[in-house]
Amino acid sequence: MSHHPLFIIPILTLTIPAIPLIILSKKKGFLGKPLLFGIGLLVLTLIIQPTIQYLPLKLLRINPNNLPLETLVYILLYTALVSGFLQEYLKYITVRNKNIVYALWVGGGFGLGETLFVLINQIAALIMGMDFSFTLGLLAVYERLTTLIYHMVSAGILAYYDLRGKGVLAYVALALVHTLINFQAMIITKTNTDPIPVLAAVYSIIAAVFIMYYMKVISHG
Amino acid sequence: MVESRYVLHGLIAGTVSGLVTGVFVFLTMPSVEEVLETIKQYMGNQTLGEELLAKYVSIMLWLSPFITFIFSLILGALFGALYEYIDKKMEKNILVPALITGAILWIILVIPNMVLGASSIKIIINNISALTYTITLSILAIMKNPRANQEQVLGNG
Repeated sequence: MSHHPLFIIPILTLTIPAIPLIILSKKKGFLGKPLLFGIGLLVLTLIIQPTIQYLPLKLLRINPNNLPLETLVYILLYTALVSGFLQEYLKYITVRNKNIVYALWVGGGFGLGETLFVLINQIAALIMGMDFSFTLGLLAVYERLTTLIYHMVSAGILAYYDLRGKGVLAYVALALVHTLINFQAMIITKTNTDPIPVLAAVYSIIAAVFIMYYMKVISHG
Repeated sequence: MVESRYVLHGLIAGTVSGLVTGVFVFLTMPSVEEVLETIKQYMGNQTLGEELLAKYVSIMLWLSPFITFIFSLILGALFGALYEYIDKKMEKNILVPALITGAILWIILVIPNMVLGASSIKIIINNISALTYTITLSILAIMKNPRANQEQVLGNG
């Protein structure tokens, strides 16, 4: 049994990921419409994405639960590709010809929608009296925070490059990064292993290059 | 907060369709045992804490009409933006973009369920949801043309 008060976890899940949105609101003002659209894009994703992911499996009559890892890995990669390319595409078409602040709110809405789903699950788990690790709960809070920031930044980058005529290039790059993130998460979930160091290193390098390039672009106006 | 009359119409249509769909979801809700059976079929031989799972399923079933309502509301607003986009591209009778928006919503809500072989109840409910949304959006378009009010609305924001 956990000795930590688990009810703190849903409170943190709601408040900590909201910090970037509060900061954005203070600095650039609150924009309700793109926030709502961002949440709407998540709802749309939840409807469309599973169909595209499971359709080939259904047609080929494959049950992913009965597959060895060597085969499952290709299915997971396909699933991750679908989620990366679809989610970034929905964000891309929403932020086209829009300014970066608008895009940040769209991304924030998307991330907030995901956070609300995690929150519902946590509250349901607490009502059920399900015991879960406090540390794991804190990790979930951290994950929600980084995911929300990721969605905000990716939407911002999409809008930034779209205004400069390189939206498609940014879309493909971000979709691939998103795919890698989801692929690693799926592998960890399916195999119950620690994060794979090689993939973690690849992500870190990609993230560092992105940040450095973005800072360079910003510093040059 | 809502700067566009189209989005406002979408939001209202989403609210109406959400209420109708929520009621239907509540009325046709499966039992916990039925859902557990489906989960067991899907999970195969993997071990499940059945008592906990049953509790979880019952909470989620209880929440499902509310989640459906919120989904419809938010999707309604998003499709309101699509409605505006289609109307500005086409510039035809206001009913045409309203019906096209409803048709796109129908495709998204119904086709995936048909392809994945969802239950007929779910397909019927999604049909009702898309139909209610389209009808409400069309009535709003006739009663209060969003084009006519656009300048007045944007004047505030």
